[in-house]
Amino acid sequence: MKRNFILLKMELLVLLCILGTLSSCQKDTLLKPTLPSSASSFVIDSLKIVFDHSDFQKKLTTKTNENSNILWTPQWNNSFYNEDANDEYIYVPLIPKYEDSKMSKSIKLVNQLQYLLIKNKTEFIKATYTGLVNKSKPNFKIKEITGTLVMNNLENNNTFIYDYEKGLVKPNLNKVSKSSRKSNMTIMSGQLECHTTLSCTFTAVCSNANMVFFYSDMTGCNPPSSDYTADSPCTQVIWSLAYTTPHQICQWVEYPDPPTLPSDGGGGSDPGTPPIPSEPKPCPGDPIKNTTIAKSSPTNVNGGRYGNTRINLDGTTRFHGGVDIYAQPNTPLYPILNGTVVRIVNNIAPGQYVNSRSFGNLIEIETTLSTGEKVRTLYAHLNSITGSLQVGSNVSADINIGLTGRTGNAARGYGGSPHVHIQTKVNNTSVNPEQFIRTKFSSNGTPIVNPC
Amino acid sequence: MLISKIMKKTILFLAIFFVITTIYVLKANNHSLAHLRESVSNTFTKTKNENKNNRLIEEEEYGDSNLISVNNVSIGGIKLNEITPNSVLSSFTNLRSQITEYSEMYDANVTVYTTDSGEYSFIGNKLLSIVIYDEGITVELKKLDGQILRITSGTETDELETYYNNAFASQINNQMVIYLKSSSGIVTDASITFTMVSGSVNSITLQN
Repeated sequence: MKRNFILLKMELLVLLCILGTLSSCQKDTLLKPTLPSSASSFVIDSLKIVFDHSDFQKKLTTKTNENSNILWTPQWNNSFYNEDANDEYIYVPLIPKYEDSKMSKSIKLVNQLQYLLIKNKTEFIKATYTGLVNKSKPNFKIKEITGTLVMNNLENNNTFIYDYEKGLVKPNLNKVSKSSRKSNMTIMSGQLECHTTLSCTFTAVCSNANMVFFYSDMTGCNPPSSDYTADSPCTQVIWSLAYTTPHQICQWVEYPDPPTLPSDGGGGSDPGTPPIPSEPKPCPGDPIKNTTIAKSSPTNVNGGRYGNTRINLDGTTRFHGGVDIYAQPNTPLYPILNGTVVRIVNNIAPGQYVNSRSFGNLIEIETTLSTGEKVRTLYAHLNSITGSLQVGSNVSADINIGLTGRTGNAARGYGGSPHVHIQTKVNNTSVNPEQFIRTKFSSNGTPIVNPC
Repeated sequence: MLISKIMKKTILFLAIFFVITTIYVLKANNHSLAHLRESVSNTFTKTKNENKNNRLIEEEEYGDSNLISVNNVSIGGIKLNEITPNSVLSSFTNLRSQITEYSEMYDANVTVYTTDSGEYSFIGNKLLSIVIYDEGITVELKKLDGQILRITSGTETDELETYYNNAFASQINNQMVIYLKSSSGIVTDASITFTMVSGSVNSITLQN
């Protein structure tokens, strides 16, 4: 009996040992995750402190207008691990809530999932996945997704866009991810190229079901089709543009081997020198690529627009007879309307002030509208006018008419906003040039994307 | 007896295995947490350093710019918000020319008064611009501590750098821009541009 008891005790001890070992192994799995699993509470608590301390919640709050916000709240309790190549990611689901002075409503995401991604426990990224969403199993694995993943680094605001097809980055797009860089192509050199683009977010309020729908087009500005709300109890859904978000999109652009000249024993061009990428032309009707309004002071975001937009020293407003489009000096300029050159001034050195009334170098183009009216469009403060142009030359939207700059009175003041001043007159009467520009602008001067 | 002996050895082995595994896992745990702690502490250190580098803000800052109230600026001894064609005519005896011409940019007539040291432009009675290119005219900027900073063509840029650090740091093409607030505190589109050459102010331009 006593022996049996000792044996039982020993068996229990063995069982305890095995359990202990298993539990240790489980801890090990948590620290080096390979599969989605819930994140350890200590790690999450620590990251939460970093998140709060860095004030990232502010960056996860989007103003839809003066009185309403969309708050993206991290659901720390539902966070889980995932992995992509050698990097470790913690996924924290983001739950949106619409708030204004009158109400606070939950939002139903129709085509997307949003996560706060924490890469290697150091980088905080807002990830927006738009594409196929498995409603029953929304916690996707990055290796299985099909759709677009926009990753916005909350610290430096850089954004990367990846288009996935069953977990692989689509090779035909210029948005190269780590995985596609590991392909067999010969790579000599590359560089990170960044430009600003906008995404559009639409909302729809469904009054009979007390719901708010939320849809984002990360690569353009198209409202959703009605299919997205077909399975909801809403009788009528009207989408409206809630806000646009500028993103600094960065792409790693890699250049293949330069061709080698066979005649001189393989000298060729300098190895590693990337070909100069040709400057992309703007859409017809836009004067430059990425048409945005130039601010006239640190606070006056509409100061570059036509009308009584300028603020005098005494606080009163003053008329501005054109539109100032933000343009770094030497940006290629294209006419917003086809026509004939009627005036050129091209004798002012880049940066030369002249006087407080000077347009600097300019080119003026006359267009006859289908109504018979004549429109004269003037482009001012240019560094130079394209040499081949002269009075009488015909120009169209795809012809580069000059380079923007800071000549005339734009050479001083307006420090942060180099721009091209565009003004139009119809039958010699000043009109708002915005009606002839392809890109439109919201009331706060934000461009509304109108891709060509 | 033999079974008991084998059992004892197995238990001893398992116990040692358990202890070693636990120590190993705890060590790994510590290593990983140290990495996390380091990342957390890095974030705090960064903030601490930024705080350490925070200097005493001498003048009002807005983003990359500095702001100054129109009430705190005088040019040639006249308060900026009191400069009119009449005050220019009465204050500057060395007037060289006075011309009125149509400006296409403003679609209005602009009157320009030119002195030996600079020029003043007006649309009607409203100041459009002042350009100072000689030490004959001094710009006086009242600082937050009440002291007056006197700048003219030829003044060294040290004090501008000290008191308008943001604007100085974000200069473009050797130009530093300070924006002006109206008497009621509205940030206006008016600015003063200091063009600098070799550590000295070369010209001063006020653009309304």
